[in-house]
Amino acid sequence: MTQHDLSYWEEIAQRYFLAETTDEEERLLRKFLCTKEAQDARFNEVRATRSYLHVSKAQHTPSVKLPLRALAVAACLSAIAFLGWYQYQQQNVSSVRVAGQTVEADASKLMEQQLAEMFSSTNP
Amino acid sequence: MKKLLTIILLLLGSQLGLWAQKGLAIQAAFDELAVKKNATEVVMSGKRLKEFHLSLFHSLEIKNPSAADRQRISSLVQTDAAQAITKEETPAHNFYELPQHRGTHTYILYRNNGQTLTLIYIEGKASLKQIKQYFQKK
Repeated sequence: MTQHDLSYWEEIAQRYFLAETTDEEERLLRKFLCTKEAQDARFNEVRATRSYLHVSKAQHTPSVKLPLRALAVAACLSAIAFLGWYQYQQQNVSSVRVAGQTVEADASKLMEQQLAEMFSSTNP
Repeated sequence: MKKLLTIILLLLGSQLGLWAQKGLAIQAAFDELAVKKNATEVVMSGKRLKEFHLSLFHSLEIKNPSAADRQRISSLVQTDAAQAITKEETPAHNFYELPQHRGTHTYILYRNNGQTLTLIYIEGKASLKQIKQYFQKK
């Protein structure tokens, strides 16, 4: 990049502060400020302004990470709720199977009957 | 996020607790013989057992068991009986209490009167004496 080029960018920078630059010029200025040549002290002000605006915009623009985190938390809570419900269902099992097939029968009654028979010949 | 994952993993781990007899030899009896046409399997857990201070009841009753079935179950019961902390063995029945796990008693009850063979696995806070008292009077 030549001295002339730097003059050109200096002029663009001045116009930038006067809000006379086009979107395309601002895009090119942004790219130029990232180059080695733009480290010249003449561009300190525009570089600081652009940096400030960039950081400020990043801070005040809703982050994409926030909804993702919220979704992750929601997914985890849903998983916990599901597992809690599943565990509750599993813990309240009451089933009778005859020949491997589940049948409609009173499991409590069968349990009491089987245990009564089991303990019928024992001392308390 | 790590806490949530920990909770999920704990919940998943707790699922393994329900069929706790899986580490025992008699699990094979439930797996193999419960499908026989003369077999009745009863599983109960949860609030309906609360009044008896039990958490799991799992039984297998076989009417007119074959000699092979009797031999198989007896062998499996004897395998688990080797680790029993208390035993009550009579010609009519065999009761075994296995080592406690987290304060929960574990019992294997086995009865074979020739016509009916009954294998019961029980978990809970109740002692064997209490269980007898609950069900003998009924």
